Amino acid sequence: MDTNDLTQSLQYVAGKFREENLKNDKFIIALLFAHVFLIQIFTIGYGTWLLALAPSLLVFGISLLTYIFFKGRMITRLVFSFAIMSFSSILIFAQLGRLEMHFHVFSAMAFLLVYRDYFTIITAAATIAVQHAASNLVQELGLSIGKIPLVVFNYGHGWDIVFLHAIFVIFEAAVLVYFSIKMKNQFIKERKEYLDLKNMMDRNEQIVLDMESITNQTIETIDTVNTNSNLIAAEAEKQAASIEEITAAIEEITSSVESIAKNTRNQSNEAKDLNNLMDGMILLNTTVAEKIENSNKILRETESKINIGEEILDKMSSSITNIENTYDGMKEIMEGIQEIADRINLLSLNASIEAARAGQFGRGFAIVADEISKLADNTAVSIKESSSLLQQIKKQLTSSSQVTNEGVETFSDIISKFSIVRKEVIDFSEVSEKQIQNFTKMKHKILDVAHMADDIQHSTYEQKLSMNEILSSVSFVNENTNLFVQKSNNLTFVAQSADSITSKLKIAMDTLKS
Amino acid sequence: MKFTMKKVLMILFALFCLTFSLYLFFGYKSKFYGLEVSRSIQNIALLDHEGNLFTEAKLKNKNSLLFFGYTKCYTVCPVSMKKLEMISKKIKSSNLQIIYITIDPNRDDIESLKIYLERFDHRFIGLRGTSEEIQQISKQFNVQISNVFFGDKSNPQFEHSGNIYFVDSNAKIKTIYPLGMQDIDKMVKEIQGLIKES
Repeated sequence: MDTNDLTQSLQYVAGKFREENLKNDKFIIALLFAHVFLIQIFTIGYGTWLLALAPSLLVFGISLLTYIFFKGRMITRLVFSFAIMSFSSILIFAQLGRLEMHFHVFSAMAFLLVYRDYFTIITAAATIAVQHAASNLVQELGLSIGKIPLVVFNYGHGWDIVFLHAIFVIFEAAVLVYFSIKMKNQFIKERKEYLDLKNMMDRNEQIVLDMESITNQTIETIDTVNTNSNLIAAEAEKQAASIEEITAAIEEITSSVESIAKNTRNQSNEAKDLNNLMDGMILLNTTVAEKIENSNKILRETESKINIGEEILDKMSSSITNIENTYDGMKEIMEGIQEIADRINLLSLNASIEAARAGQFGRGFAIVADEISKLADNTAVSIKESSSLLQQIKKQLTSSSQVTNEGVETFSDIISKFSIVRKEVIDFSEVSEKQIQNFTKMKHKILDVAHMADDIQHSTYEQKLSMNEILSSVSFVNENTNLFVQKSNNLTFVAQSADSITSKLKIAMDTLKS
Repeated sequence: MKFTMKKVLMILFALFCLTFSLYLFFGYKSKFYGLEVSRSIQNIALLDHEGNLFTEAKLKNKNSLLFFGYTKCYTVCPVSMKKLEMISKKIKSSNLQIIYITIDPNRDDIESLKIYLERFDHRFIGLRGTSEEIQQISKQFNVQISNVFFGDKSNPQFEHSGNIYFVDSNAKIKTIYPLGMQDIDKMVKEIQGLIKES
């Protein structure tokens, strides 16, 4: 602190002290005014109203004039000290020197401590001492002011009593002087501190204004936070509800996935069983194919044999045809012979007719003609027999040919049927191969299905793990949401507390500002 | 210095106080020389210096000058007693009795009271009671008796009011003459007037 500051500080303290004294003067003048009336109460029963009122008004009038013209100055304090001590004396007058009234002296001196000025105390002590001494003197001398006598002690007026009272007054005055000095120092110290504080506060004024604006902003922010945290809390509660729904859905999904996993596991097992069955089928089909192949081979051999049989039958048929053809020639021959025999017979008949006409001369001829006719008849009969034989042969040949033809036809039929059979076998073989191929394909498909089932199973397992992870995540989210709700509630609470704190802060700021 | 309305009013009030004070000191004429009061005295039952019972009945039909003291007192009492003797001599009226009440019944027995009073006027009546009775009466008269002793150990003294009371024939205190207001001529004049009134 430089000299300037010190001077300023001292001036400030002196100013404050003057301010204080103005207040104190006001207080003491009011106190003195009150004395005028209060003392009158004490006169009741003593008949001393005049004795008290006249000096009371005198003292108060002087005091009031001093106050009007010199308030806040040392002279006022000294007059007031004198006045208040005079009221002590007046009060003692009022009750005709009653000993207890002397207590007023001590009380009044204590009131003067309000000035924190030891001069006032000393003045008061001196006043009361002088008044007592003087009054004692005038009492001894029986003096009075106007018509009013001066009475201080009502029970003798020895100097020893004055001295006794004086000791107490001096003692109290000493104590009060000590305290007045101490209080004055205290006052100076406090004011200096206050000045320092005020300077500091002036410096801090800008900070206070900044703080105020920050406080206002903070209040606004807190309001926003409060509103938002309420919204967040509401949303978080909704979210918590959604999360519960999600959790339930996930649990359902997980159970579905588990069911899927179980089903796919069954599917996989069944596919594997099916695969095994397919393997059996393929094996069976392969065997069937082999058997068909063998059958085919046998069929081919049979076919060739049948063809040979057919050829033979064809040869037989052609032979029969040849025989038939020969028969037809023979028949033609027979028929020619027959015709010849017929013609011979006819010629013999004609020769007998001619021999009969030639009468006896033709007899000998008629007999040869007859014989020739008979021979012709025999020949005809033989031819007839031969023809019948031939007819039987032909019949048999025809029958044989028929049988052969039937046999050929049967063979042909067989061959045609056989070829059908063979074709069927071949077809069957092809079908069988195709079936094997299909079975193989099916097997592959089944294996694919099994793999897929395995994959699905694996996937579902992973899905289940993922679901569990999701579930734990969801539960974590739920916990976090709850925490969030709690935190947002806390935030709301904190915001509210902060609100009240900032309100307080605001009030404090306002107070600080004012 | 600015003279505001308030200040002017205050100055006027101060001047009024001072003027009124001066009037009271010098201009005002009070009815009595002594301090005027009006208080009835009751329940007095003491013994006089002859050993007779003294009740408030004896206060009635007669005016009284009353003083509290004790025979061993060498401060206030002898002066007041002397003044009372002088008053007694100046007022010959048989309608006046002078009563001396001892406030030290421990030391003042009836005998010593009688011896003490014989030194003054024959009209003096000494009264004695128990400490409680004395206290009860002194309270009625606003007499202060200190219990602080001072002076020689062989003759301890205590402080008490040195007032002289005029009690009328209705057993009512009419005037009080404290120390400093015991001008004999003025008192005699006033008391004669008061006796006449009653």
